[in-house]
Amino acid sequence: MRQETLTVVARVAGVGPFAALRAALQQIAADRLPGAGARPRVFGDPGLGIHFARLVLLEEPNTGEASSSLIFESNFDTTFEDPDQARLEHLKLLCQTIREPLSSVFQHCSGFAQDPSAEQLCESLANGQVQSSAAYQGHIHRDLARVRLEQHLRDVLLDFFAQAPKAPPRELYHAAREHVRLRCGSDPRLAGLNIDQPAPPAPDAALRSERLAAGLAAWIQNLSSDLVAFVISQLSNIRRWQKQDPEYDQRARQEAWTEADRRTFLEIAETEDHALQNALTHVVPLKGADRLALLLFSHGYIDRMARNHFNDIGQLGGIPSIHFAKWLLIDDDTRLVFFSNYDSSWESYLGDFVDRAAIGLNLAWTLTAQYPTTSYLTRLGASDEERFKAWSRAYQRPTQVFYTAYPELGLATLNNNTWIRCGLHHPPGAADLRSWFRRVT
Amino acid sequence: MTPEDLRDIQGLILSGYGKKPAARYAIFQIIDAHAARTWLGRVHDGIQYGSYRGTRRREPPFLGDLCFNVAFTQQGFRELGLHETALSGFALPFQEGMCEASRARRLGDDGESAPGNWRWGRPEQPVHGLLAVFAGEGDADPEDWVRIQEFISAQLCRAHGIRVITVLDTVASNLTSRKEHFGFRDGIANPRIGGLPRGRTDDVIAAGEVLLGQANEYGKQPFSPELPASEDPGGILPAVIGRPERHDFGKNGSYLVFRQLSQDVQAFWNYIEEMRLTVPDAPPGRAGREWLAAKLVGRWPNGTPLSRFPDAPGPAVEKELDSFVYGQNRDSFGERCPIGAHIRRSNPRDTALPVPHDPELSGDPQIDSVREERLQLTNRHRLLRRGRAYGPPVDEDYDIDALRTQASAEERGLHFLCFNANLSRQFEFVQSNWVQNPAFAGLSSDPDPLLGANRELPFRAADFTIQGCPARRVRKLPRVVETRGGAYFFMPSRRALAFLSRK
Repeated sequence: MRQETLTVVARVAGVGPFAALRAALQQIAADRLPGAGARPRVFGDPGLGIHFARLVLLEEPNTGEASSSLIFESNFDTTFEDPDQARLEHLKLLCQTIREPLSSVFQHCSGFAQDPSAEQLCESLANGQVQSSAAYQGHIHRDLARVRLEQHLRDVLLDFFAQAPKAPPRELYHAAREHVRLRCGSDPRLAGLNIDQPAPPAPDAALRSERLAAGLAAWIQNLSSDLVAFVISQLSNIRRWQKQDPEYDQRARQEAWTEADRRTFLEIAETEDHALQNALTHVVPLKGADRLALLLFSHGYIDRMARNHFNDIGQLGGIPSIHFAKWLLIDDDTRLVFFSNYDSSWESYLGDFVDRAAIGLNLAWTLTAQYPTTSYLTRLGASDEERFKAWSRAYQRPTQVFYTAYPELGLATLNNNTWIRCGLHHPPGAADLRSWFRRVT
Repeated sequence: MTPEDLRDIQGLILSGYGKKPAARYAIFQIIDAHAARTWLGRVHDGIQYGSYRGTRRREPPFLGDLCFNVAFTQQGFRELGLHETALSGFALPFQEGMCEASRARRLGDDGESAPGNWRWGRPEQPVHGLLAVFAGEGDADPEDWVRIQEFISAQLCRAHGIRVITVLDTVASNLTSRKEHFGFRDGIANPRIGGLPRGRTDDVIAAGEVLLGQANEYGKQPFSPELPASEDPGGILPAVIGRPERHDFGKNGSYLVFRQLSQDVQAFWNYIEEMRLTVPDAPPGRAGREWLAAKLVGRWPNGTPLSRFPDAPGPAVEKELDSFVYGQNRDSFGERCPIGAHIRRSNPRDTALPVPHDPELSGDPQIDSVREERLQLTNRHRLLRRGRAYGPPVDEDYDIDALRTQASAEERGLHFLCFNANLSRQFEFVQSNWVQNPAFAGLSSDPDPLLGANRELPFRAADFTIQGCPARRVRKLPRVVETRGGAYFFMPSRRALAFLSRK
């Protein structure tokens, strides 16, 4: 089982404020699953295999500069290797299972029928698909059932150790293993676990170690000759842009905040921090059409780094808290959308951008409007802490509907749970045993 | 920091006036702006500023016999007629206030702690200002409290355009042995402001982490409220460097977080007593109670850190209580001081985040440069604490058995005060990402055992894990701390106060 991502962008019919569409979104958001996370019930059917989903209304002023859009995003389990087929099958499943709620919002969009059949809805959604220019996944090889099983397994082990008599580590380990083996027969939440068999696919530990140690070398290895040649051809432009492009003027913007701005900030804050994870929806215009080619090259590079490097190690450019992230271009490639599902608060997440990942993120956004000035696409930029955070918030949009399948599970914990489980399948050597015990915490 | 800066900075930012045993905090509203400005003009020269930190300890100027400081909220500045441009230049959390709904959720202020239940600072009863008054020397004299109260009554009155919302008492600091009510030495881990004369040289943070107008840990000046120079024709405020058309209202001021936190001492120690029986490693009897409580807190009651003294309290040598990092004590993985212990998550020091037990991901704590980098990252979230306890101690000797068994109906707790230059990156970050976060540092359902148990968000969690081989876990942590009031204030500089008073 692997995970795939889907994005559908539809143009909202008519002009704002789209009261009926907002009400339909509100209705989906308000019908919640019990427990943590204020999670919309509609995406919680386990058969859908959704890890994270969102519905976002991008309402634009009626100036003709940009059109209002409704965006649906899903990160889901699939058995299909071909990404296009995986997305299509996921859409079919969605339309069969939750046709009504999806239709209740998409009926307000151009190209969607009022009361469509599942097939009609699926076709319209499929037509609205937009491919990401770069995408990242913080955990691979683990479907929802496995994520939950491994979460429970850690809990079982912690409960066992809480009462276990002191003993040498090897003895304790075998006692724990025996305890789990016995529990597998009686605990339905451990159904399917057989620690006497090899562990199911997991990120390769040796490969992960190698990649985590690679540092800058990984960036160099993943450079393509096309990219290098194109960047060289653009050097004079890059120098000119970094001298001339206006950067975000935090003071001017903040001192000019209107009541509408403040309402938007509150609306964004209202949708945040209901679970351990949050959704970031960020939309910013490109600086100009002349930057598009370079942006696509840059994003191609980030995408390659994600696929060849970051997806295996559970961090994106040094940020260890992103479950899924993607960039995509909308409105005839004039605006860049960024979606991420991340752990902890916005402040913590943006702090990681500044402290750990400024270079990679500069590359992703340096060609968008008012981004803090960079030097040769990668330096400075996000490291201008307050300006970068203010810029990010200014272009952020409320995520009206956000679903997470595991509102209590951070990425680091999720990945750690897998290593704990692997350590039960494959008894660690003496040197690794201590590390295994440290993980069970 | 120049002598001119020291004369400009209010003294409470630079020192908690630890030698002054008596203190009261008066929370007030402005009812007549003109009268309040006139009052401010009369008192602002009498406020305690920081010049006493510019000389040797026994050389003048000294701290005043009765010291006082003032701070205002966003609404307070508005009432005083501060220019709209300056008002919009304050940090968004300050503008919105501590009790804004989504912020309250993030800070863990739910249930009994919800802002609607606060005694002061509730949304419908906005606070405008704070007058903090300190007096005495050495042992507390009842006369000190009388003098403070007389001072408050004389200053905060209708004639001065001010109405008192509440006066918050503190317990005489010489009676507490510097302990908080659960019985643990408190106020140990406070960073030093860089560039401050007469300061210690360890655990220093950049001045701009506390004061606007100074360089912060990123080497930048924090965003500061400004106004057009035309609004300050007398040139009371400093001009912004490089932009003379603007004057800096925020320079040498600091955001002050004030939270009144009540503590249920008996519930804490009853829980410890109940749980120590369930932990196989806990020593029997009183020693077991002390051991388990120390695990939750991260220090022994006398203040000695578990990281250095894992098995029994060490000698409480003042200057050694805070001079430690985890890595150098073979405690990178929480086997001495648990990862989720209160002091460790409030200030993780060199703990490798996000997951200490994954050195490949988070950095190998055996490598000095890794630990130094980690300390540098932690230092971007430090707070300068200036709080004091309130309510009488359950037991004057803080005997841990008496704390559990001695019934006391009186409320007690902590007036938590801290200064920082960036509310989002410092106070709110620490509170929501470290203290409230059950997944802090790779844990799974462990909130701060003192401040974060059983909060609604991000999800209800009430476990505490004691790392080791094997790890032990206690469950069902009770809520032992509740928020009773709070507000974000800004403590302006002398020049900013002078400017305000002459509006």
